[in-house]
Amino acid sequence: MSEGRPTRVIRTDYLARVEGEGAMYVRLDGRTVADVKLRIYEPPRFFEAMLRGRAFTEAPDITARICGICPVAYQMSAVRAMEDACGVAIDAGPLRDLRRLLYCGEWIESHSLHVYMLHAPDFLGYTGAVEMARDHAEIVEQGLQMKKAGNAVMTVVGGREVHPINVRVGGFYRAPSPAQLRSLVDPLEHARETALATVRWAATLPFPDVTCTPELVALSEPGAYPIDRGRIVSDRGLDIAPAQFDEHVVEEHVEHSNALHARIRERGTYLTGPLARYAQSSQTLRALARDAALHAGLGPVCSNPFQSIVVRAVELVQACDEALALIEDYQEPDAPAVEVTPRAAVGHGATEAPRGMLYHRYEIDEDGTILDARIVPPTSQNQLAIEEDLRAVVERSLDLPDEQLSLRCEQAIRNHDPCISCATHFLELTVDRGADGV
Amino acid sequence: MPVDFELNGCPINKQQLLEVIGAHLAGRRPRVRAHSVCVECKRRGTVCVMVAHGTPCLGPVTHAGCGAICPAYDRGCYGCYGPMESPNEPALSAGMAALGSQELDLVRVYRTFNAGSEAFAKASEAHERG
Repeated sequence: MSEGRPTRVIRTDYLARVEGEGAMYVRLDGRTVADVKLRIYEPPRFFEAMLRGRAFTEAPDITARICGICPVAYQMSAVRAMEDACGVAIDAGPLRDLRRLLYCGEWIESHSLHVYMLHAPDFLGYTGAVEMARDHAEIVEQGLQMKKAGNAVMTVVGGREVHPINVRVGGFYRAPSPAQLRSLVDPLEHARETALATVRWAATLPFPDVTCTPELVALSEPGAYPIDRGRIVSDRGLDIAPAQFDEHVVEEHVEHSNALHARIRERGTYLTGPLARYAQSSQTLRALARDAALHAGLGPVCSNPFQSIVVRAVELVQACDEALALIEDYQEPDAPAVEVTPRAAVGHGATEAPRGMLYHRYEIDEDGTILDARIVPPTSQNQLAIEEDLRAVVERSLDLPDEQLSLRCEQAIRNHDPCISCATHFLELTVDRGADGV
Repeated sequence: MPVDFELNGCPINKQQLLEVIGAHLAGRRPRVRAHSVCVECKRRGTVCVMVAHGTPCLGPVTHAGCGAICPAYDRGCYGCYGPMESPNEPALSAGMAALGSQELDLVRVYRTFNAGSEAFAKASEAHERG
């Protein structure tokens, strides 16, 4: 019955305002969405293979290079996995607080980059932040000022804002002094005010009426908004330790993407990131962030992916407020790191990168040489959910002209702040080099 | 693809980037020093981690530009800016071996960042042969 049902193709060959190289393809037969693809064509980067044969202590420095926006996430998942393998847990005390502080800095710089530079132009009708700055200089300045505060945290705690050098298995090379941390108070207080204003502003943006309900997966920790540790929990009954990740999540190669597609073995598509974290842990937000979410009209769960910009803004408040609290309570540790002695073992680590959960698994030998590495970044986990979002968005926007529909589809992808470079590091490449199909 | 100028570093240093862009706009050669990280430690007033603490450090053979961050944080440089203009790896390797670095450690340190540069590739291959 395809006769009389004109085929309509919506495609963007080079997605803008995402990190990395990806494309989007949507085919409509009449008013039926026949095919939806988030194509990730950035070449794979083989980080897992590069890690083999390296020392267990090198993983944080090497994996940081997977991403220039969220290097701390890679470092934190790597050190947690190595410490897990070696029977060490840094779950409390000043070393953990410093890790959380560093991670807050990353959330601030990454979220402010996405909210203001990558996502806001979609809502305000600009092709990018530079064009947007002509009419909305104050918005761009706010974003840059907040990003600078996040960078400052990473520089003081981590040594530099991109690929920090101070993180090691067991802790840090040098712990900052309380006076050094106090230098961060002014910029962070300023950033916190800006973040509160960001929530108010984001709540006023025009949101298309779309509801998406993928399984939401995030780390969960009693009494704390998840950042650096926790059990892996979903709204459909998943509740596992990071060590059980492999039993419940499968990754598979699909022809149209150089990033592996992850799915929950029992059910399939799932989503990680701000929407999942917020849905599961909004009750553990700090009072300031919780009030901001309430006033912005966010319910206990946010099912409209376009509103992720509001949730990210709430997380900006959370990260600034938590960073300030950590600095206030900071006591310089007696030693910047605890001793970690390697042993033949497998270790797992999962932490919350700004754009979603990041899982590392390493097998090391008794000398600490890495025998095997597995890294599952948030964007490869979110690919199926992003494609389902695209399908939902197109079904609700069939009457839009092609150009507007295309923009809305791109926005639907950007809703999840995909980091395509992160996603294309995988090891096994078994591609059928047949016709591309697009 | 023709390359006018190469900036070292993972990540590159933003001051060096501004210098390269500024120099290009002004039509002059960029002033990016090709000396070692050691010079940056001296300028910064950082005590040598190799001499004072016995920490192996790639600083003597590594291109300047980062501001010698790692030694300032009590760790040895791990070479993410690649080789400086006239590196002497055999001398440094002997020094690191005296501090306890094994052959495998030396292969790894030269084979992390800029592993394909002529100087670092030669050094890592020499230690791999043992």
